[in-house]
Amino acid sequence: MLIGCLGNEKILAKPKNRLPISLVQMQFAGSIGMVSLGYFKTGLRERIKVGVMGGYTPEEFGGKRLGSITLKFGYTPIRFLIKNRLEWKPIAAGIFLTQHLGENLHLRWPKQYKRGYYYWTNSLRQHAFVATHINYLLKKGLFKRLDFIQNLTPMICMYTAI
Amino acid sequence: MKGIGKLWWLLLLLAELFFVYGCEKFEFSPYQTKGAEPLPQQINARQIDRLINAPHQDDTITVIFIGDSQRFYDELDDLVHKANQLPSVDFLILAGDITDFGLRKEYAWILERLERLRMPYMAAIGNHDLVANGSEIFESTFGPKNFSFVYHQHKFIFHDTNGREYGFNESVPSIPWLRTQMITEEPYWYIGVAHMPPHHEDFDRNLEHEYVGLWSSNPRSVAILSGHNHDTGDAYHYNDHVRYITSNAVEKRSFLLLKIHKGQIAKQLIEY
Repeated sequence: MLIGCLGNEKILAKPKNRLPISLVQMQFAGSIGMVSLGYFKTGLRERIKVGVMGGYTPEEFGGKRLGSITLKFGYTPIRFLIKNRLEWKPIAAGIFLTQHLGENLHLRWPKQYKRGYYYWTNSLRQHAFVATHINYLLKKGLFKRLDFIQNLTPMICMYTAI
Repeated sequence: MKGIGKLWWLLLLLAELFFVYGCEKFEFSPYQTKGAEPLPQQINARQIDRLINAPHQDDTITVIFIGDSQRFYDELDDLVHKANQLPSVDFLILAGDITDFGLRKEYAWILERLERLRMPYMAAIGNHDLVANGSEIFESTFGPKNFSFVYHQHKFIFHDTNGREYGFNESVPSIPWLRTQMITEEPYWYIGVAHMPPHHEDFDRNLEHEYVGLWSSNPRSVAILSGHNHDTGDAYHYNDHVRYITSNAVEKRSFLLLKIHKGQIAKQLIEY
């Protein structure tokens, strides 16, 4: 199933002298909550990153109070140095698995359903995305780099079969 | 990429601003019940108004009866096209399972197609429409799960019969509500529309006897139109005068055309 999910993310990066560096990621929309916050580690010279995110959608914006926990993996194969402090990663592809939390959402179906009655789980969903990064290296401060990430395509968002 | 010109800089900045601020179609969660793009509200009530206020063509009611549109978007496109070509159709009945996962986006995709119908359409709620937050989305888009209207002396009673979704708690179908619908001094013919037929295992077994008895005891009960089985069926299941008719799911690329006149129903399978 294809569900249109567009979101933009901002990453505050704090690189250390040695890899992997740590990333703190803030995100707006993108199928896991109106706002979400995550922590990532990178590897293979920052080509891959893996981390967890927690998302939240207030009732006012989603109709119901919704939460989420996400395990996310991203891959950025190429990067270009545009200027001294600016770099561009044109393609960032990734997948993530999200457990959605809310009043009527459950990982296991309630007891009135016999096994396999519904073929999907009611709250665990898989996603895939393609995005682009623009990274800006900061001069000083706690964080060493600021990344802007924007999804390029509608996000693939599908159920998880039991 | 070194030495990139100022023009490229500007273009990059504009592209970023477009993506960030130019698109309002953000999805926060697949399970959200409201979003930036509003869905139509109280569809069933609006469509009934449309039907009642339309000029009556004759005293035979012509109904397109379909079931289970869930995820069959291409087939539904073709169904709408075929339905719009048929003459003298009074309205269309969708007997539940509008969606598969009860998601708002699914409701939007189905409604986008149903809104292209030339005739009024009304829908009952199905078990798939109730999962996740689907129940709330149905109530805001289509309206109450139990409702009725009278057309040409026939009372169409749409009601929720998806007992399993409520843990078989003996509240669905609502027998008290149905009783009030069938007690009237007017000489109506009664036609029920409910996704789950009473002889199905997903119907609340504790209410089957009372439910069937309610329809059976009324000499003017005609039929109950259902979906769920994804197949056509027409039988007298309880040795009484009430017909239990089911329609194909939309994936089967055929629907039933019902001609209803003075408590009699003639049906024809239309392929598309």
